[in-house]
Amino acid sequence: MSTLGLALDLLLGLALVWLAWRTLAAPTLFGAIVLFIAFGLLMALAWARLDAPDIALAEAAVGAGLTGVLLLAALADLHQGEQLLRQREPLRGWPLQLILALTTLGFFGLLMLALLDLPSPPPSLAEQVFSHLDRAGASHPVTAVLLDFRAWDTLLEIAVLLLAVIAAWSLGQHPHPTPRIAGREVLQGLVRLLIPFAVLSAGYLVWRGAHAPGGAFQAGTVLAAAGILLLLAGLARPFDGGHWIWRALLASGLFIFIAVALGTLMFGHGALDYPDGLGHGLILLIELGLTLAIGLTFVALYACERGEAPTQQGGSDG
Amino acid sequence: MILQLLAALLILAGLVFFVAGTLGLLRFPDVLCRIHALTKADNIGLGLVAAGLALLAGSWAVALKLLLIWLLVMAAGATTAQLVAGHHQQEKP
Repeated sequence: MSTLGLALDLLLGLALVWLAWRTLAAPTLFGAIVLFIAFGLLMALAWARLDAPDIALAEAAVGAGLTGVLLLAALADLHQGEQLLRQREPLRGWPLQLILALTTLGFFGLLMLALLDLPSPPPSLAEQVFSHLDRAGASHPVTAVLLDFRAWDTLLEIAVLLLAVIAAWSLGQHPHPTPRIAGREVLQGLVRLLIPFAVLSAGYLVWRGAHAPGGAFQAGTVLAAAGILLLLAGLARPFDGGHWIWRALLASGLFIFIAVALGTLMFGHGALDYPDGLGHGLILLIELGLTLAIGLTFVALYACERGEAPTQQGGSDG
Repeated sequence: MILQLLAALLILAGLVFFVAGTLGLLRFPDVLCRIHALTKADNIGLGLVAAGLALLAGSWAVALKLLLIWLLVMAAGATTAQLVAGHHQQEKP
């Protein structure tokens, strides 16, 4: 069984390197994006093989799925899209190629040396995490790290996501063409079928995050996928970013997080140091807020990619 | 033992369909033929693999989840096939 596993891992590793090379060498941008999505899916498989299901879920949902959609939308919006689709300029001149090859090989060699030099056993904080797990607000170690031990990091990540939406909205101000899709009715049928499942699995992922792989990022991405499908199928219009309620919802994840941090700072031991017994409830509250905000953030990035003008006053529904 | 043998047979049969579908995708001349090969092989192949895994799962909950995955993938696959075919028709002069 372990030989078979080793063969699978080798195949997976080789396929990843090959796909990475094909992605970089693809003659068209569209082809490169498709290969990048395939790369993300295999990467998720690799994380699963490394016993990191949390990262595998995030890689499949965000790395392959959502990033792929954003890249495709960006490609469609490129003004010279047609021209770029036809050809990409290869790197010219052997001095440049030589320098690039030498730099890459040198870096590869250094990494190999570092790998040989690893202390054994490798440095790890896993023991500390597990020894304090009974005092955390979540029994799943990854969630405990993300929302209890290192909650501050996650708070800043959410702030970065909000900043990304603000930056993207500041850039995109052009009219929004509805995608012309042959066989739209079939897609609408599928989307109507999938939306309840998407909402259900998002709720399941959040709830499960406390004691098993899952959590706000994965659940939020599932919600975002549902939203983007609604937009693609023409069942919903992009939401109106100028309206205060959407802006409030987009910021709600960060606000809830900051509110909990302030509350624990004033009434407890310190910022995001949850009082005994309240940890689980507070983490669930934060995760629910984050799920909605992350889902909306990704849809906002996509709708902006499609060129929805944020200050325009118009019809709005989710 | 018989259960495991049956499961292995089902999974192997499913893999045969996947290989056939992949061959079709690589060898068939145009978009519509390729969709035909791919979706047909995927639907039956995944069904057989899921059935084999369900036999090995040992719990009804997991078996039902596998059934649900198969149904959802079939719905998504059929829709994608329609969309690709529709796009192909639209592109044709």
